[in-house]
Amino acid sequence: MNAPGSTKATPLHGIASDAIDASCRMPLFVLFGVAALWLAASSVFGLIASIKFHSPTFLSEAGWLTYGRVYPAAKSMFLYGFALPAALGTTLWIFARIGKVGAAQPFFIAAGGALWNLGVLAGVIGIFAGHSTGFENMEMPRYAAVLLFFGFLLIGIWTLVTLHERRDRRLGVTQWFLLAALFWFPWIYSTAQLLLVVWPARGTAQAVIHWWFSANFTVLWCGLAGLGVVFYFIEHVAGRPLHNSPLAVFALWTSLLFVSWTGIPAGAPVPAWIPTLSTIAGVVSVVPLIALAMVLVPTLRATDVPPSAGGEITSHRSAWCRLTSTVPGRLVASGLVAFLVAWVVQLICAIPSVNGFVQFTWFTYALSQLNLYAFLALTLFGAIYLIAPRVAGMDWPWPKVVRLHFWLAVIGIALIVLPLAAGGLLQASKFASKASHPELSFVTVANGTLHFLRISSIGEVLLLLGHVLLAGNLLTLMARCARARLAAAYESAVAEVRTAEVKP
Amino acid sequence: MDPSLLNAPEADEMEPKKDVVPVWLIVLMVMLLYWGAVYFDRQGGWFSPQVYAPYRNLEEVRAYQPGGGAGDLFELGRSVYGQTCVACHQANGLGVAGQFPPLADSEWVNEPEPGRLIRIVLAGLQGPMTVKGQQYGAATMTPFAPILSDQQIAAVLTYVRQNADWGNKAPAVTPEQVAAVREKIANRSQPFTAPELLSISPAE
Ligand code: HEC
Repeated sequence: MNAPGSTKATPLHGIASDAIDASCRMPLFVLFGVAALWLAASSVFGLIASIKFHSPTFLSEAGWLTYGRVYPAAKSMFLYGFALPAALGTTLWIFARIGKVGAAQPFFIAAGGALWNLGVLAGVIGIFAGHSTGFENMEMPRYAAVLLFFGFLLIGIWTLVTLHERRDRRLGVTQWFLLAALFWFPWIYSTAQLLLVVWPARGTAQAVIHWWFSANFTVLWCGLAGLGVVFYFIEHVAGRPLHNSPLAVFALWTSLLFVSWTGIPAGAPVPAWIPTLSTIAGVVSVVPLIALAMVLVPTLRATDVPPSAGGEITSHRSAWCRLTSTVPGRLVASGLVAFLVAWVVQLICAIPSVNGFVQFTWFTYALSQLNLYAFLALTLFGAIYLIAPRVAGMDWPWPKVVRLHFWLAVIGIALIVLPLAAGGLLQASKFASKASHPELSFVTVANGTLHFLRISSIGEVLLLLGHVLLAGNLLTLMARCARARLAAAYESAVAEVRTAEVKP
Repeated sequence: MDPSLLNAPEADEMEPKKDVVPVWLIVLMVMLLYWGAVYFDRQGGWFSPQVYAPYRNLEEVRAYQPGGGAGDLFELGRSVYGQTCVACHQANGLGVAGQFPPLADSEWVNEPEPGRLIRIVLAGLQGPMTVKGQQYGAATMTPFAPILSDQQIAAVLTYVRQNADWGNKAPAVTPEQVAAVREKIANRSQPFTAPELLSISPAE
């Protein structure tokens, strides 16, 4: 295997792919570069929040460093600072690459990225200042949401135009999923903003809308965007056609139809028909899951297709081997595994008794981390590690560090998800035995999870290290690329002047 | 990265496939949706805004949470009593010997007209008095006019007067009756004494 992320041989489609990559350079540098910084910042504050759980006096003097602000700030930085821009940048590049067309209006997309990041900055400062909306996963205040809206509009519109102008007219599964994600986020975010912040709904409707938004964002949107990247890697990096494309599209539509209704806990204090519908939707979501498994498993297990025109067979590796033979592919493959596990667990948790068992415990948090980090973040890391060197036109400054980041990320997230899931189940079983053990107070039970929380803090440290490595590698890459281009521009300018001097 | 990966076939080089969605998956989906409809019929309370978990339909809610009419006032009274009176008169309404007189079977409580009772709760009570043949007067009952509404006072007195477990049986008290008395004694700052109450007609 060659050095991870190396781009030595990139004659993808001759001149075209280089030109396409170059057209994406400015927007992707803005989107990916700042995203990497937000990610590092997010894990710093995430670590602080995690430490506060077992050492409550840690950094408790200043109001802005209290848990109630640090945690939402860290989560917002992750979701809005990292995940969304990274997914948007990836979508743009994939649309351009598959469509064999350059990015439409790179400048406006980059401007949109800048505006979006300004919105995130305003939002995060707002959260630290205590202006949070109070709704989890959308804490950033209204003024930030306005900036986010216009930023997204600029990016989204020109990404759509890029898709529209594609020279290869076919729409594949990858594009379907990414397109759905591109539409789903603005629809749920603006609806939730309007109904919760601008013209707040009254009473139980508020909680219902908020649950709806959270599930649609952290489960559905995250699934669409992440799967889009997974499909791109399978089809265009590992180079394997999907086993059954119509089935994948069927999975897309059924998840839009059913998963979008999930997320309201079974015992929620709202009129019973709402959680009941949510439970039903959760159970029926087994259909898209089966469909996806039926697409992915045979596709990944199949060995190389024998060449039709008698060309020589170079290897007999399965698509899974091909996918996992590079570090970016391995990141995406790990993400895919996490996705499937998370979905199965979510299905089981849709059963009301199970839902009631694990509610209010660390288990639900572990599950959401499995989805948001182990699946989405790892997948997006894979995309960034694949795309950035191509767009920059040079290899990673420290290719070995890419592999190191892979291990830090995988071990780090495992140290968060596994202990917290175990601790959560322990917590849940203690809550369930309260009837026979009345001496078990909520606080005693919560204290029982402290060891698990300490382990998860170690996981946070590993993730933080990984994020610093990613940011360092990416920013250095961008700086080198900029320097090389400046030098080249200078050279050609000088050469022109010289020829001009020689001529007369 | 392996160069062969990057030279992978693009979409146009892939063979078109004739795969479709398997029929059994659609059948499974339809079956699950049918189950969903049945489940909703059983658990969903048919969109009634009054049915909350753990109840599954309106009948269950009515069966477990009876309400409506005067019964409501009684139930409200139970909770008011549990929050405000129980500390002194005890949950069983028997009070504490020598300190807090009993409400159970008390001749004061069972007076046909509630005028005196309303005054006791609104303005409080102090000084020596006799209840069921026992002398009291060591402690003072605090006024509740500032913290309880007419509705709540009517409710708690209805609860006390109609509490069959305590052997009480007297007509309910209405919020209007409380409001009328509240107006009459609006200027009063001192708790009543037993002789003073006895000088007032209970109907007033
Ligand atoms: C602070 C303790 C205290 C609280 C609380 C209290 N009471 Fe009393 N209550 C007394 C005392 C003491 C007396 C007897 C006063 C006396 O001896 O002059 C009394 C007397 C009475 C009497 C008349 C005597 C009898 O037993 O029939 C009634 C009726 C009564 N209370 C009803 C209530 C109701 C209804 C509430 C709740 C809204 C209430 N009390 C809350 C202390 C209290």
